[in-house]
Amino acid sequence: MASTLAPQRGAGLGLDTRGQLLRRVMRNRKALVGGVCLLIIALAAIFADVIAVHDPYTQNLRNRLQPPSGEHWLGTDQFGRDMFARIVHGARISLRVGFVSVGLALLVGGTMGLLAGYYGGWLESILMRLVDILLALPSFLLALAIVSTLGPSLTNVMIAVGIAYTPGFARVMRSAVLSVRQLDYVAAAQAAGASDLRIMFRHVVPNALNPMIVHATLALAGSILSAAGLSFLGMGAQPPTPEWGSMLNSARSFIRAAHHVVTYPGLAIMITVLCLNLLGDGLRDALDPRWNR
Amino acid sequence: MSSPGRAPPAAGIGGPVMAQFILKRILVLVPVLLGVSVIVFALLYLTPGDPALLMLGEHAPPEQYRALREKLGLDDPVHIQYLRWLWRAVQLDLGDSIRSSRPVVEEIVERIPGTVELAVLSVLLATFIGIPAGVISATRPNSWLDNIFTVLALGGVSMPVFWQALMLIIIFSVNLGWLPPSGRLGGWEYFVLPVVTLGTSAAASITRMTRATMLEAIHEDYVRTARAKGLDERRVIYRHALRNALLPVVTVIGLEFGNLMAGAVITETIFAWPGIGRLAVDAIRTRDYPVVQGVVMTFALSYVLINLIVDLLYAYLDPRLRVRYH
Amino acid sequence: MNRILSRALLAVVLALLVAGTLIPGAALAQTLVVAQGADAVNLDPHTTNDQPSARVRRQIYETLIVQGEDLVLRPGLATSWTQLDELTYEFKLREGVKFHNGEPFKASDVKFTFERLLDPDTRADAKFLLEVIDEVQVIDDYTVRIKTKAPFSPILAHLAHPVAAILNEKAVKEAGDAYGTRVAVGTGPFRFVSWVSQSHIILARFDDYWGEKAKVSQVVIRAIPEGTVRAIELETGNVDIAYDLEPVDRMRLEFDPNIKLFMTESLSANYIGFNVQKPPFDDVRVRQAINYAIDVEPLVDVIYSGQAVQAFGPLSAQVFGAHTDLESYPYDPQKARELLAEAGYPNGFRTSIWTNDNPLRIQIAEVVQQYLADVGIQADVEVVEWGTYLANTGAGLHDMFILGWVTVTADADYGLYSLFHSSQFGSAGNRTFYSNPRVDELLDFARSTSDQEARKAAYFEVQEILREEAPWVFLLFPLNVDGTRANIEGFTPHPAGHHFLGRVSKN
Repeated sequence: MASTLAPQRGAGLGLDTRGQLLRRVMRNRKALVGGVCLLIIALAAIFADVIAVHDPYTQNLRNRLQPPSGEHWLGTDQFGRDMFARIVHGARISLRVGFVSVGLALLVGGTMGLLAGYYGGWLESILMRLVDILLALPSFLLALAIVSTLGPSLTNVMIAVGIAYTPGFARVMRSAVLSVRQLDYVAAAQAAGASDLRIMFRHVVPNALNPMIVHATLALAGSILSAAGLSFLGMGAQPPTPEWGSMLNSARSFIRAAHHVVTYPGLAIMITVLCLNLLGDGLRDALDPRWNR
Repeated sequence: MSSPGRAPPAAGIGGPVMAQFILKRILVLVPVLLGVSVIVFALLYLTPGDPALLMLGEHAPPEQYRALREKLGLDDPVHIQYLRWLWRAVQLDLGDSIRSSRPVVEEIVERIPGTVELAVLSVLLATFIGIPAGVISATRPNSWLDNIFTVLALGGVSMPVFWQALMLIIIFSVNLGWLPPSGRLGGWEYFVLPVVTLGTSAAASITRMTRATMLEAIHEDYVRTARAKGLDERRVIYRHALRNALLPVVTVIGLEFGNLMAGAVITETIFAWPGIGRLAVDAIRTRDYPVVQGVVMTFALSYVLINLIVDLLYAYLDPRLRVRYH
Repeated sequence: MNRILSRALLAVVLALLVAGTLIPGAALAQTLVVAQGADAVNLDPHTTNDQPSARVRRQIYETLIVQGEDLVLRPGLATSWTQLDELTYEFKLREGVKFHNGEPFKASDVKFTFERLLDPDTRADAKFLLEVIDEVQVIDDYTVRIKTKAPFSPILAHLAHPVAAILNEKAVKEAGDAYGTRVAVGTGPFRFVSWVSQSHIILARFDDYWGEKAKVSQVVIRAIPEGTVRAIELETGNVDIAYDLEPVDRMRLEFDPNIKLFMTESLSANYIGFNVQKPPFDDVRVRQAINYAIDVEPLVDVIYSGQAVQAFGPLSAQVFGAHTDLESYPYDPQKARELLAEAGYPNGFRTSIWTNDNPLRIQIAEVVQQYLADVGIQADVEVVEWGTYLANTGAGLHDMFILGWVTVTADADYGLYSLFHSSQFGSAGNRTFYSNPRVDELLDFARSTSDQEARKAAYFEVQEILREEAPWVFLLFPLNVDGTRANIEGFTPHPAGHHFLGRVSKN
């Protein structure tokens, strides 16, 4: 569950204008496909109530496990609930889990990395040691322990996943900060007497944005999968919440009898994660100033 | 350029500087392990749920329950319990499992081979698929081959593990009848599905990383120089570009190894594969503190060791590092 | 360097593969492969009291009295017994029985076994089952007297429980700490050969068995946690017998000509308990209302796919003392609303249902939530992890909770005492914190008298009271579903779940 991404080399040294950057991103096919796809999913999530005719929570036990039909576009689940409605509403929940947990990791990890990289010295040692400890802990065990302690709920899943991704962000940020710190204009700003905070936020952070954005996209993808994995261990969203991972998990015994209850949430996860990965890859290609082809 | 947070190794393999480097890294091990043990102990302590109660189940005669708690020392203050554990741990005595009464060390040693087998084989599979695929993708960027590999790699990373595992079983065991569905009962055929399940996402990561770093390496100055010198194209790629592209990939392989050790839980459960992952999850469920502590320590130790090996490999592979830090 | 590296890698890989190579598979005609959902924990009956372990121990060990699949008590290692007085039973032991290590079975082994079980230092989980034993006296090599602390008529049923298995004194003492994991010696038709943790246990036929020799020469008991995979293993023929099939799989396998299915009434009951000391559940009308509000039929038909029977009380029909004439609460939401209004809750109220992460129970909770909503009760479903669940329900923090109870001895005392006697509040079993002096009186009486008819009458009255007072919503009695390949003969499931494999043959 921990980040699999090694941090960028020479991150964010290019000083493109915003317009140039955006154009580069849009020209990159991967980023474009991924981005558009995600936009569609996000729209579906936002307008879930409008798109889905049925209520995702209403049970109809006599009508369970029906294959797709005109009435129920993706069939019904083991309680007779409309699959399409549940998947569409599930987008909202899964995306929220992703954003909150990654947001948490980005904030905490980013801050740790920023402080460590900027100040160095004993602060860096302590913070990076903390990162090492977090990484040495098998993340699923950490998540399991956290959720066991706090109780299985979506909020706690977000906390657990957030903590698991924090070290990754810390490392990426620190690496980016290190490469910028030595630059002339930073030294100049320091000589001119600018406060540390100002330097950090005006000069250092913007240049670390690129690798952090890429990492965030890929972490988003990973967090959705992590949440699904936690459902497998019984630590996920609570019934009757239509979160994709827990839908997939609670239906897995039906995989042979009525596979649509398993396939559709699985596909939903897969497509979302795929798009996020595409976007992340595309962004990395586009934003790395080294090789613009 | 090397992974942040680690001082680059000095000199080449061998020599007093290298020994010093290794020693320093081993010393760093200690505070990390201590930190891990404290965190886990604290977490478990805070988790509601009582190992004595879980042992005795839904029917727990009060006297027996109290006796058990006393015997396990569960009523002592938490720091006493921790120090007691720590004292025994440094003597390599990890205590006894609350559930099975067997020494924790025994339980771990019995089940580690299963997980290690899966992890090693998965990483090998991932590497032997990932690196060539990444190289091919990089040398023919944006070709149909590259695009296929990219899609496959991304697909491999995007499927929830238990879904993938169940689908593989259905296709290859039920429908085709080629492979046994589960178990670790000897014979290579039992390894195929679990290793493929675990290896796919690692393969995907390695492919993508290799492609990315190869693309960078190919555009490096020294590669252009080699080409200008008129060297054979293949030699250029494999000798120069690949060698340097492999560095971050090695890091990723190390990271994946760590992931796999932990992520094997789901695979172990579905394929009925004996391993440490399942042991850990069951131990958390039954609040078997000694076992959880023991397993986490084992993971942490292996994580740090793997990182050490990765860094040494790094030093070996990168001639620039060797020269620069002599 | 690369070549050395790759050769080293190859060596490592080969070494690992060789190390992982193990026993022969199901290819041997004389090997029976059985799959259950979890690995045994320990083969020493004086450690844990869990079903996966019991299922293995059942093949290796024997008890003084045997409880057959029909739940009738028969001679086992004891050929006959008499009750000398209120507190004393005398058992005549079978002669000529050998343990797996060649030692002869004697009365001293019986004494050793029970003393070890009751010794607090042994820490046996199941100690409570035979706690009532005061002393075991050896009269001669083949005669034993067991004295109890108080009159306790279910003692015979308790002695038939797998946990009362007779151990060999010499084997236990010699093995020391290794007993139960590397050594396990009994008198049963199979002897313990080896155990690969979390994977499988191998048993071999004991050729010096005193009774009918086993029909297969080897048994491999595999642990396969994932239900779908267990069914698949049965389907593909890798496994000969699979225990505890899920309803979805059972429905599919019903039409498979290569599979035989066994649905047996079990000794378990699934119920929703109320915390009767917490309002509004302290009002019997509220509890009855909820009983009327829930339609159990679709739970049985749909969630269990017919693999269950609607419960009429706390004891399933197989249990001695079960009041099978009791009528279960009909589905009547109108009456439910009336009762609620009468009790002062015309608009319902807000509450919570706790369940652990058992998938079937979670499904039940979701459906019940819906039914309660129909009569105005807002129930939040909380899936609580098992450890926390036990702790918190034991402490009385809950409102409503879903749980199951297995009456392992098939005797009403086991199925009622811990659950409803006021001395058993909390983790001892009475999680509803129900207290009724008449019920206490009846339960105490029924366990001390050996007049079976009187016992039955007492238990009947208890169940009638319980039905009226409704400390539970009586849900269902799940059926056990096991499957075998069509070429397997002689498999008869035991309602308590520890199926005997000594008569199973493979064609």
